[in-house]
Amino acid sequence: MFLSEVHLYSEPRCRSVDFQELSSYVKGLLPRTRVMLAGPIQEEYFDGFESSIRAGVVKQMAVSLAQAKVKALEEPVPDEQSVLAGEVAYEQRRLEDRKNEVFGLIYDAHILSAIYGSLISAEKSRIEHLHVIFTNQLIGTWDMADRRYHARTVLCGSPSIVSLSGITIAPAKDTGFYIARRSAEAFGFAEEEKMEVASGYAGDSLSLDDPRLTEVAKGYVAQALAHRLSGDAFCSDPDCRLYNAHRQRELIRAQLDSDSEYCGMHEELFNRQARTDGGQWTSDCT
Amino acid sequence: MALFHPIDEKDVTRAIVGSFMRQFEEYAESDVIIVGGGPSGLMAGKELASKGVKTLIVERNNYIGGGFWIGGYLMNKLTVRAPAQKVLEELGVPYEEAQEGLFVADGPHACSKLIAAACDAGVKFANMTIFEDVVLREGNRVAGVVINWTPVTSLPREITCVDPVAIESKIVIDSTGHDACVLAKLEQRGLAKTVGFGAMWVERSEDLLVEHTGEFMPGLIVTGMAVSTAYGLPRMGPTFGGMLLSGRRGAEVALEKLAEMK
Repeated sequence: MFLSEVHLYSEPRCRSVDFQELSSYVKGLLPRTRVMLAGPIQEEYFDGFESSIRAGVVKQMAVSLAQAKVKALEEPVPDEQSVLAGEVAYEQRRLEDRKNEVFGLIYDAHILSAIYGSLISAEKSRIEHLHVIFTNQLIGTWDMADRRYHARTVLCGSPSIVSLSGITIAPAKDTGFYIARRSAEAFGFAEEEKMEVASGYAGDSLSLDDPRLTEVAKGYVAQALAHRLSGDAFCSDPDCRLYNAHRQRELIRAQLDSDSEYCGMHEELFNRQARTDGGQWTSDCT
Repeated sequence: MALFHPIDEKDVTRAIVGSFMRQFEEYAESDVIIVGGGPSGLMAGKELASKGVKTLIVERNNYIGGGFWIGGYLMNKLTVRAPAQKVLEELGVPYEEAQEGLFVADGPHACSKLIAAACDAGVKFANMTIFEDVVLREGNRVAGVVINWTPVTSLPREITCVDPVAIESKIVIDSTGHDACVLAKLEQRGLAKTVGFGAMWVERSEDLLVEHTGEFMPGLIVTGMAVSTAYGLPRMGPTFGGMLLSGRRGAEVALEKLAEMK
């Protein structure tokens, strides 16, 4: 298949990420593909409605987002989850105010993807079009094996979601961080003190204001691209940007410290896409 | 020559009873009743009373201040993250910057100043008074609380069977911490549903707590740790900056609601 368009939706609340640079990176990787950078996906969608009904549309989406919230890590989010007025009001404020940077909730990634997917027209939802949405919210997926949610950095699909906060929290910090934090917790330390104690044991890890986040985010966009092109987002080579890092050290190695960006197989995957002019090519890089 | 003016015991008793009863009678109907005299309740009370709102804080303990007197491991140092140090400045509480954005103050100093600021603003207190139930009006609007003396709850029923009394207000604020006593009572009656403690990013929960502070149902505002219980935010250790700013946010919402009622 030929990927004709890639749509990137920025997250203005995450000011450490240069989305223009991200967009240029994807253009460099896939020079024959149209790469478009837009603001948050819901903004363009809301703007399509007259002011008289816009408020209702925003409210409905706020309800949907509140319903996607993971309320207990050990229970899958039920269909039509009941929500409180305060939860809806929180989502509404976030939807309408780019400056509202408060976050920290976890959302079911598949439900969230379905919500965002409903905002994309059928014409733009074709398989040749990839939509990648950046968010500063945390996303998680339910694991049937151990029956709990796991925080994720990226959900590859239609659309794909890259969680910028997930990049900083889903891959684990060094074990000492969690031991120190738990110890401080046992002493009844305040939240600020717990973090102060534990941060000394975190090792090299990313934070949301880390200037390296733009570079790291490129690798997660590449995973969404690889997933669409080959059906598999990840690579087993720890030095390839498609490596599915479970620890911050692994993430930093794959995204920042590796001598080459991609392993030979995945470099060829993107090179083939760069050479093709559409319609003739199928991937053998699975 | 005696140092103090001669006063009979009965005069002392009359002075106490008279003063208490005048206040109790006056505050049987308040603008706002705050249940819980911890940092968020005190902050909300101070802010409201300073705007001329008739405010009563109901506290089940004899002492006011909740957990604001001490920090972790019974150490009487409190920490707040920026921008909550501005509240300490407003209260006149000295503090030190432990690291960028993190400030440390003496617990007794901060707590006593906050209590004094609430008193100076005009807040009245019903301490040793336990919340028992809510007063409801049409549309299940919360319109007051049912209270009793705290010691009554610790005595066997056959010795003390004291009926409670009800006091009314335009707005009730639940500042009772993780127990969320007012919400729990409404849930018990099937009138509200809380989420309980949830699955979120603990490092960010202080922001979330302030952001979720507000009206939970008509006539009822939730502040402080009770917000965590209401909306499924993480069960945190003490985060005093969050409590202070949540109290302030709760007061802002109460002022909006009071203005709408006029």
